[in-house]
Order: sequence, then C-alpha cells, then structure tokens
Amino acid sequence: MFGPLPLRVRLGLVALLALLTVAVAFAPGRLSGPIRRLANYRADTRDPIYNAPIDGRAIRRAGAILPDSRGVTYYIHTRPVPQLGHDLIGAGLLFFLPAVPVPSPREAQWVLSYDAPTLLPKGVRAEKTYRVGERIYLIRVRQG
Amino acid sequence: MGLVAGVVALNALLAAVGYCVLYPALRGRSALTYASYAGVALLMGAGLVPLVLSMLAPTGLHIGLPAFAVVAAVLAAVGLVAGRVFRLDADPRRAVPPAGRLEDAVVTVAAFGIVAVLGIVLVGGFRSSPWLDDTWYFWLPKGRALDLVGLDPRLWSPNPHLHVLFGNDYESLWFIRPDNPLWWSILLNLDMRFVGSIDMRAVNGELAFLMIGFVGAAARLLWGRVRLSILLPALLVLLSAPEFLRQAQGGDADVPLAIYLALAILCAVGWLALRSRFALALFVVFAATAIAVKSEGVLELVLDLAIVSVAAWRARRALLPLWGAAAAAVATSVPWYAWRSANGVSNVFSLRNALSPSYLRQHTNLLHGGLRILGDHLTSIREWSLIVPLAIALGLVGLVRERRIAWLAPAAFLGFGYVFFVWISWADPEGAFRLVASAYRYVTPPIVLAGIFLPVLGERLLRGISGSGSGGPAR
Repeated sequence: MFGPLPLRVRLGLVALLALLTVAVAFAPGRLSGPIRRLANYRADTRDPIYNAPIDGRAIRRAGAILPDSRGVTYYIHTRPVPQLGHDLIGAGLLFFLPAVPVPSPREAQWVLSYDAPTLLPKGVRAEKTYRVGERIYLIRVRQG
Repeated sequence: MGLVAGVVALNALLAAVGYCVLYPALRGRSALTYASYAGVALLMGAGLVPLVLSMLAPTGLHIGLPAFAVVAAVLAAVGLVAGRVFRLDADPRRAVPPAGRLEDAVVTVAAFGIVAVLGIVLVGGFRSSPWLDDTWYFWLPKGRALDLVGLDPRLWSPNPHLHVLFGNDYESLWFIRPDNPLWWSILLNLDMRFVGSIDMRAVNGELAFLMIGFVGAAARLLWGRVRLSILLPALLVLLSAPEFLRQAQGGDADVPLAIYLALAILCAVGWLALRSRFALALFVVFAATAIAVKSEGVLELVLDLAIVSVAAWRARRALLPLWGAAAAAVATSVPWYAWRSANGVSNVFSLRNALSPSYLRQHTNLLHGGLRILGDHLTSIREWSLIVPLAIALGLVGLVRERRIAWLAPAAFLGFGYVFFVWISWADPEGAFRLVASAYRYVTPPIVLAGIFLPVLGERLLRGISGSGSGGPAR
C-alpha cells in the first residue's frame, strides 16, 4: 500500500496534518466550528434532549418507583402546554415501560403530576405520594 | 457496563457474529485479510442479529438480552458450519501502491483525513445525546417495549380512544410512525442493555460505529479495484459531508438506512460486474437490513435496483439471480408486514392517494413545496459538499466519452430518488408537516448511494484516459 514517499517525509506529512488538525480544533471563532460541533466540546448528559424544560432526574426517579409490571397504568397530569405534554408522553414511554399510559385518570393506578395546577386531577384520590422533583410527584391513586 | 464499554462490547460481539457468517468466504485467509474485513463483519453482524430478532418479534417473544444471545450464537454457529460445507470467494484484492510521490502524498493526506474524521465522530458520538426527538420519542421506546412487554398491539395500533389533550393539541399514547420496521429500535435497546441504563449518548456511539463500519466496508469492497489515490479521497468527500456528520449525531434511522442501502447497491453492481457470488450474498444481507430499517427502505431498494437493471441491461442474464436475491431480502420482512396487516397498522403513505389524480390535483401546493424543499436540500453544497455535483459531472463526462448509459446510474439514483420523495410528499396527508420536519433526511439515502459510486466513476474515467494506467488497481 505504501508508495515511493520516503518514510521520513510521510511521517513529517502526518505530523503536519495532526498539528493542523489540533490547531484548527483549538482555534478561536468560526474556524474551529465544525470540529467543535462534531466533537461536542460541551458534552451532553445521558438524558434525552427534551424540547420542553423537563426534569430528567425526576422522570428517572419516577420510572424507578413505578412497579415493573405490564399491568400497571399511569396518567400524566400537567399544565395545558402541548410541547410539555408531548415530551412527558415520550419520557413516559422511554422510562416507565412496562407500565403503559392511559388517557383518563379513571383508568390509572398511578398519576405523574408534573408541575400541574392541582396535585391530582378530579375523580381520583391519593393513596401514596412520592415527591420526585420540584412540583413533580408520582402518586399511587384509587378511584374517588 | 457503562457507556463506552457497553457500546464497544455490543459492537465487538456483533462483529464477531459477522466474522462467523463471513467464515465461508474468509476461511484460510491471513490475519491481515481478516482484519481488513472488520467493517464488513461489523455491518453484517449489526445487520443480521437485529434483523432475525425483528423476524421473531411478531411471535410475541421478548426481544431482550436472552433472545440476543441465542440468535447471535445460532447465527455464528450456522456461519461456522457453512464454512465447513461450502466456500464463497471473497476475492480480497491487494491495492497497487501509488506510483508517484504526489499520488502517494494524496493517499497519505486522504487516509489521515478519514482517520481523523472518524476519530472525531467516535469521540463526539459518546459525548452527545441525539438532537432529534424521534430517537427518544419512539425509536428507542419501541425497542424497550419489545424487550419488556413484547410486540403489544396496544402500543402500536392506532386507537382514537388513546388520545390526550394538552392545551389545544392532541397527543397519542401509542407509538407514532408504528409502520416503521423494528431493526433500529432493537439495536438501540441492545445498546442500552449493554450500557446498563438508558443513556442516550449510546445512540450516537452506535451511529459512530456504523459510520466506521461503513467506511471500512466500502474501502474493503473497492480495495484493489479502485486506485488508492481515487478511493480514499472519494471516501473522504463522502464521509466529511457536513450533513452526513450532523445526521450521524441526530439518532434517527436515516443514516443506517443510507449506509445499508448504499452497500446493498454497491454489492448488486459487484455481482453484475464481476459475477461475484460473495457480492450477491452480501447484497442479500445488506438489502434485507435496509428494508428492516425504515418503511421506505423497500421502495428505495426496488427503485435503485430498477435503475441498476436498466443501466446493466447488457448483463441481463445476471439480473434474474439479483432480483431473486432481492426477493429473498424482502421475504425477511414478511413476518412484520403480516403482523402489521393483522393489527391494522397501515403505512402513513397511501398508495391509493398516490395514484389518485383527483387527490393529487387537490394537493398541488405540496407538489410545489416538495420540488422546492427537496431540491434545495439535494443540491446544497453547504449540506452535502461536492457529492451531488461530482456524481453528475463524472457521469456526464463518462457518458459523453463512452456513450454508455451505465455512467448515469449514480445521477439517476439522485434524480429518481428526488422524484420519488416529491411524489411521496405530494400524496402524504401530512406532507406539509413532514416536508418541513424531515425533507433534509429524505435525501440522505440517495446522496450517500451516489457518493459510494464516486470512487468507481473516478477510477473508470481515469482508466479510460490513461489506458490501464500506472498506479491503477490490480486486476
């Protein structure tokens, strides 16, 4: 595979290229932009990049509390903000399985109350409440 | 295991399975030859294991670590036994060293560029969570569901009862895009199982491994057939396209689809040009995987195979085995299609709309939008570097010189891919939304496919100019 380039010249070329790459990587401003983006200088956390401001730790805590059974159902109770609801459904599907979401609190055994105007929706009563974050609760419920 | 160790361990196991499956073609070869097939082996294993698991999912089996272990072991055993029974010739060529110093310098610079970009992709992958919400909203949750509850129709079948109102917007509680196949979801869930927790950075780590495997596989398959001073710079042009790299950290399935589709068509051409049974065998695996990645995979495969068939009409006797192999690849997705049909999971794309003149006439605004938006992405040098202009320019030069339509195949992948997605968007009831949200990804498979043929075009052109040419590939 190696051609007629003398070894010293080849090594010199590689060293020069490496130096150039490092220089570009640490250059200020737009020059380092492509490498900065690709190498992601400011590393992300292990959580999803949510669209709405979701407390990832609270979601993980709630997921750890929910029973590990496919018969378990939960309802998401939050503010009437579409993006927040959308992201909480996605977070639930990611972290709460095998528990499955239901569209009505009356069908739910658990409620994730996320920054909601009231702790619980109408029609259910709290049996046990776990605080998993700031104004974020996972509540085992019974029908009221 | 932790993030890096988990993803590395999974990919090492997948590559090991891939090597076992390649055993009939590599038996008795040197360690160096084995090493040169690492990219092919990784993509074989990463393609086959989740593919077989996705074929088993409709039975209700939980697709977790035990199922993975059994399937991986069975595939490896089948490969090793097959290697004892019959032999395929991988025909690994050696590259002819560059003839001149300038050519050698070009090869050295390009090789450095490829290693540097892939190194940054790998490091960056493990430092970044996917920027596209589809990844955590449905791709990975589907994999988790297959593992924890199995293929449960409650989560896949559209059900108007399962709607929730947030403000003025309805959200569904079943998986959106339930029609998409299961391969990517299964692979992502395996990554999480090996990591030991849900760590979204593992998604981009996996994509980085697939990118490395792709470049390694493309280089191996073209090694010795395309001179290094063309092969490596052309692969660097493809690999370093800004949009390709950006999407490799998006977490969606378009990059895996592009990778497997491009390799499948490259192998199809390998079969037609060389009558290599090894290429045909690789084609089956890569094509079956492309079909199992996304719903549009099967349509894109058929379209691109049709283009290849027209371009290679002179070799029409070889087309029958190729289409037979394509049928075998499609057959691997029959269990999924049957399950979908039995559970009312229809495609978001309606063939009835697509073929209805009255429907299409009522939605001409989507036609205009599709032509413009998809065209902008397809022709953007800022997004895709020089891949598209080079594929068209080299094809035209070759056509003028040799008057053979085969030169236009890469340009046809682009052109017909463009028309295909304009048509799909036109017939899609949610086309307006999807054009804005996803058009930049629609063009990824045709562009990567055209890009993988840049080395082939360049080599044929140069060979025509210089005769057999000094520094040309081994024959």
